[in-house]
Amino acid sequence: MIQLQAGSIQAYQQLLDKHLPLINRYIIRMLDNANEADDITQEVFIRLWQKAQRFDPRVARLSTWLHQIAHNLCIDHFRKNKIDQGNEDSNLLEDMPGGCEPQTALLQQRQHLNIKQAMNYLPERQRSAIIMCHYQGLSNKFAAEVLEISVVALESLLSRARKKLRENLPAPTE
Amino acid sequence: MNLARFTQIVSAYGSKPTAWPEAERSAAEVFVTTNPNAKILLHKESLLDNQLDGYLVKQNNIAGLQSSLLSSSKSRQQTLNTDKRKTESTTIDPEDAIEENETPRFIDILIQWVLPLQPRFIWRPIIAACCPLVIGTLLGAAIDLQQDTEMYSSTDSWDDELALMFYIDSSEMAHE
Repeated sequence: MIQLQAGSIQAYQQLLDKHLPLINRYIIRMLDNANEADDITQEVFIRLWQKAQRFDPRVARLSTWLHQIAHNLCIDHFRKNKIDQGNEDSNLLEDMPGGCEPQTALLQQRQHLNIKQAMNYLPERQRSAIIMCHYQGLSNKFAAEVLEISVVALESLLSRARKKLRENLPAPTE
Repeated sequence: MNLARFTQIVSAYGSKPTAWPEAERSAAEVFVTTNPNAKILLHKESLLDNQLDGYLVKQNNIAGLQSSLLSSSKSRQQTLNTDKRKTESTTIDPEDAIEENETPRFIDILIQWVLPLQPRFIWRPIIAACCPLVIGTLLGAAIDLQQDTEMYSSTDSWDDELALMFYIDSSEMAHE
């Protein structure tokens, strides 16, 4: 990071290698649109390049800082475009494994759409908390830092999110 | 660990022990093995987790995104270096500067001066934006002055004309 602050391209490349995939995945899940997510991801890393001087390692870790920027840009994006729910983007669906039975594939696709919709019904902060803790595998302290709340508040946010998801998803088959 | 805390943990973080708070993980894992209610809770949460795991996302071309970011940062770096070099080259012999193509160089310098990359030079675009205002004010004042002068001269000619009319009238009256 010190090298990046000095304007080193190599340091920037190393940081891109390390953080770009994770940040991109976070933004894709937040926006539910892979193409728009790429634009926001670019913006996050342009800010990293331009505002590297402002980063203070004593205040936060770089990954926390990047997630914070990504989170804020996603919120800005929602406010600007007023798209919070029901965004249809078939790009998000991961390719079905090869040799999959058509019926199974259809079932998986339906399941995927249900979860996608249920995720989109979540308020922004709840969605962000679920993405960080469930999908990104980040620690509770990390997620709390990104959202600038206490761990206790994060737990309450996550509980509400999971409750809402359960309400909006069809009953699971055992 | 007690059932109340265990309930809080699984309702927030789900059924996977890897997602549980590190400090309480081992205690919670032991608690599940001893408490049947905890097992039921864990099973209930695992059903939701399984559903959530079905939400997969496809990333676009990460390598392409990375290369475009790198190339844009390189170009920014080059612009920054050029700017630095140009700032340093202000001490160059003026005759050497004349040898180069002057028009594009001047425009480049002007654009880079007006729109600097560093935020500490924010005063430059402000000054550039104020220039038309100052020029406009000066021009306006000059035009007003000109109009005033024209008004005076036209008043003079009106006076002359009135005097002439009066002279014509009085000479006609004298003839009669």
